Amino acid sequence: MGIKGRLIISFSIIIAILVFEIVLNQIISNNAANAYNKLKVEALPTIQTLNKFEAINKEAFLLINGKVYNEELSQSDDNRLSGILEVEYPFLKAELVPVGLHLKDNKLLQSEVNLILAATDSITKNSGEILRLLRIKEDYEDLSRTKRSRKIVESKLAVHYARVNSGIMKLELHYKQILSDYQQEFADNLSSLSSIILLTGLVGVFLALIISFQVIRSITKPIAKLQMGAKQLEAGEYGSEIEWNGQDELSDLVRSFNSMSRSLDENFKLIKERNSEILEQEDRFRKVIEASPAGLLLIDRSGKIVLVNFQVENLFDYQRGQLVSKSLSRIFPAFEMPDGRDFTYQECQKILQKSLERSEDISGLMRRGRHFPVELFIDEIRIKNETYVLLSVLDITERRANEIQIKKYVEQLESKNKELEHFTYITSHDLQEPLLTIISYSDLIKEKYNDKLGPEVNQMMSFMREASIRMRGLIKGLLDHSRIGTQKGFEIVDCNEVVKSVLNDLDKSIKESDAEIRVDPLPELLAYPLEIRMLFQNLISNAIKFTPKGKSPRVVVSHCSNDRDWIFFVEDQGIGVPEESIDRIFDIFYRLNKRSEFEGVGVGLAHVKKIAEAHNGRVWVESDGHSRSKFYFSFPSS
Amino acid sequence: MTKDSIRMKYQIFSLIFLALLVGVIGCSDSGNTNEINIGFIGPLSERATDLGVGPSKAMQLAIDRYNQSREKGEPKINLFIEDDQWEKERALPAYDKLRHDHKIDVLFVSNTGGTVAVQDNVLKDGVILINPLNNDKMLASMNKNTFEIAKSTEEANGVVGVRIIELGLKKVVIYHFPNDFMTRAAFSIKELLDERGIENTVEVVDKDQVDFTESLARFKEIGVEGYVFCGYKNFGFAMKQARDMGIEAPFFGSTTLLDPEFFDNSEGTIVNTECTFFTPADGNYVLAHQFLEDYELKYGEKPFSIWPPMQAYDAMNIVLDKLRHVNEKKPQQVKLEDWLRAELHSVRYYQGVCGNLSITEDGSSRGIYFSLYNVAGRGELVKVKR
Repeated sequence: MGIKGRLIISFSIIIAILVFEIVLNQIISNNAANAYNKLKVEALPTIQTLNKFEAINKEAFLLINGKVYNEELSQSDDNRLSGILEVEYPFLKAELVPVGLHLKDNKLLQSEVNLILAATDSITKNSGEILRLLRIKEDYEDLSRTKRSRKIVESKLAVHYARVNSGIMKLELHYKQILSDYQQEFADNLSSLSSIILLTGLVGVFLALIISFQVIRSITKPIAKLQMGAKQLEAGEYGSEIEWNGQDELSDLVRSFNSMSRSLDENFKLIKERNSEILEQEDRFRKVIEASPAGLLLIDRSGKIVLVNFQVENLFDYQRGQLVSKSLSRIFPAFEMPDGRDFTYQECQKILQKSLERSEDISGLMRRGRHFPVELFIDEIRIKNETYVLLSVLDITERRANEIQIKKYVEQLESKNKELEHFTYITSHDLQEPLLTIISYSDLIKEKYNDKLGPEVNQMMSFMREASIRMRGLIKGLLDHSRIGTQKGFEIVDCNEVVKSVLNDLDKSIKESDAEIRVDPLPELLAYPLEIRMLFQNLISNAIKFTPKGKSPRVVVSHCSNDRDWIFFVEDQGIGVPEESIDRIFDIFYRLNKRSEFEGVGVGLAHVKKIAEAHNGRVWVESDGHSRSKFYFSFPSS
Repeated sequence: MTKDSIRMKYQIFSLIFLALLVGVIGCSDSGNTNEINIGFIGPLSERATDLGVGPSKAMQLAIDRYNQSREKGEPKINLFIEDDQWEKERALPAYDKLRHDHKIDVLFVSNTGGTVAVQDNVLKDGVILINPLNNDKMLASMNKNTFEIAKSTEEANGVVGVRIIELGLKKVVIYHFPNDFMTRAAFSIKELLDERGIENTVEVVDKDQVDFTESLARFKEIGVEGYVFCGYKNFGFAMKQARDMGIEAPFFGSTTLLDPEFFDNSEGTIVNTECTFFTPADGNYVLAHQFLEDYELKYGEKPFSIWPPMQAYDAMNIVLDKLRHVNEKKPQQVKLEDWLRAELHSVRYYQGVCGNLSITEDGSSRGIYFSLYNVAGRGELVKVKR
């Protein structure tokens, strides 16, 4: 049977005892109440009425005696006597009538009541007669009145009063006996009540103790086992089971406990495995963090360092314990938060931005007071609803030193370049003069001494002149090359206009070669205008020029773009570029063909390359090696 | 079934239950008497004001005490007062007003003539009528709704007659005011005197008469040995005029001599006049004394003439004692008039301030007994030792 059933039965037994006790109590209480009611309603009021009747009767007799024998003429006494006769006696009679009716089983006493009532009427009548006889003082002097009055008192009133008193005494005796009987009955009932309460109470307590003991035992025994099992669990003995056989709720609880214990055991094993994995993972992460080439610091909102890695210890020459819980400003003075502001990602950004605007590096402060430049990366991290700032620190001391060195080299290189360019310019410019003189004199010699020099010398003079002219072309090419990028500042250049102008200039050669040139719409550029024109002119003229004889040139000028650059290209159906020449084709004075096949000094593509580079762009070529070439150049679009 | 429909059903059942509950409570309460109005017609001005002002205050005191102490289910009682200036002709209009305006169920009237005047109306309207001042054979013969909770007029005034006989006076004149009570008072004295063979003359005065010299001279002439004045304040003038005329014969009076205007009109010649009266010592002294203290506490003064308020207080308390249980005892089908009449008839022993009272089958009461007093000063009385 289950605990619920056992408890219901136990309480039902106790409740049954209580109900039994209540019923018994009710019966006896009703008896007691009846007895008390008889006391209260019947015996006591009747005795009180009789007592009052007796007292009034005696008072009336005294008053009438005083009036008749003592000649007392007090108005108050007369009034009092009148009150008794007119009010008190009628009232007492009215009270006594029901008493007589109650005594129908006691004829003797009932007749006594009737006698009292009759005697009272007689007293009232006779007393009234005396009051009328003895009204004033003179009435006492009238012997007939006094004699008559005394006769009434002695022969009638005294008898009636005695009869009333005697009857009342008998009735009193009877009712006192009834009162005593009722009192005894009431007392007996109370005593019985008390006994029953005591007896049923004792039985109830005894049964309650036995039932309680049994019920408590049936509950506490499995609970004790459960407690022991719980202690085993507490001690870490997961999987331990309690031995218990039963069908009640606690047995279910024991089974549930055993199930829970097994489940706990399995879960703890699982947790151990997971913990091990977590620890391994944590170790890996820790090692990654510690192995990071950058110093890592985790900072809380108060600006205190929460976590550092090995690299930070190394960079700042502190032990980890000397930094954790300390303010970040200890190693980064720039991060001192004014006005008690929170250390947030936004505040860090402001500090970094300020440093950037001033072109100043954030400096780290080592333990021994040495400052060193650092590069900082910041990020915001939320851990358990708290916001932290993660700082990645890179020591850029070496980088800064390298940069200074590189800058120095660049400056030197730029100086050398300028010198070289100047030298080239000066050289090419100055070389033109004597070269022009050579050409002029060679022409003059040919003109004046053509007949005299003979064919061999004339041929040699002709070679010399051609070489000089070629040299002048080379020098001019060199001079032009050196001038590229020397203009002041970029301008907006409409490439469509530029190409249009170039095609106008090449109109003659286009027509002669029957070239077909397609120009797609081109963008505007911010660039050196003359250089851009030179670039397009060189590429388009090359495309027309380097076409096999007997074949009309087909040229396409177009462009495309990517994220950063405009990419222009000039495509031809010419002689192509052999693969081995692709890397050298943009070198100055490099020629792909014999001079006899195609004219030129080999500076055009070198110009193209230099112009592209002067605009931070680049050039390259794609070709099948024999019949098609596509020359690209890129310009930054921003 | 949706939650909304279940909630709606629950609300409907709740409302029905509430309506039934209200209905049951309402029905059970509908038969109850929650308020009862009582009227009082008495002299508040002109003459005999000690028979109207004091009683009205005493009755109000009784009602206030009742209302303060009443419990749940006991009706509230209201008192409405009308002034009849001690004129019986004014009683009926005053009654009509009380009945019309306040729907009174119980009426107290001081004036004997007034009591007679409203007889037909109270019976027709089912109003219980109580005279709290006078109780005589004529009033006892009135209709079944009329009660007299007061001293017996004949007995009270008979005390004066006995005194005259006791003093051995041989020739007496009995003046009386022309109303029922004083006429009955005068003739109750005359009856006693006649019984003892004492020569006496009954002299009726006019209602507003102030000059009594003519008749006084006449009675002086024939050697009248005692003068009885059954009436009100104007007989003060008669006393003064008598003494001024050299009449030294003793004066006697009825129950109204303590009216202060009576004394003032007599200019002190009323002193030593013997009269029938009632003081706390004549009733239940402790209760009477307590009543007078309460009266003084409430109104700031003692009644000048104490027996009218004492009787009125007892009469009102007897009625209140019954009305208190109206909802408990009165069957629904029985009219208040019938129930209250029967209840008053059942009064056998009521311990009031005036004594232990009972009400007889004819509606008159027993238990209030007047004594003989001597006027010692303005508002002062001394009991006569015989």
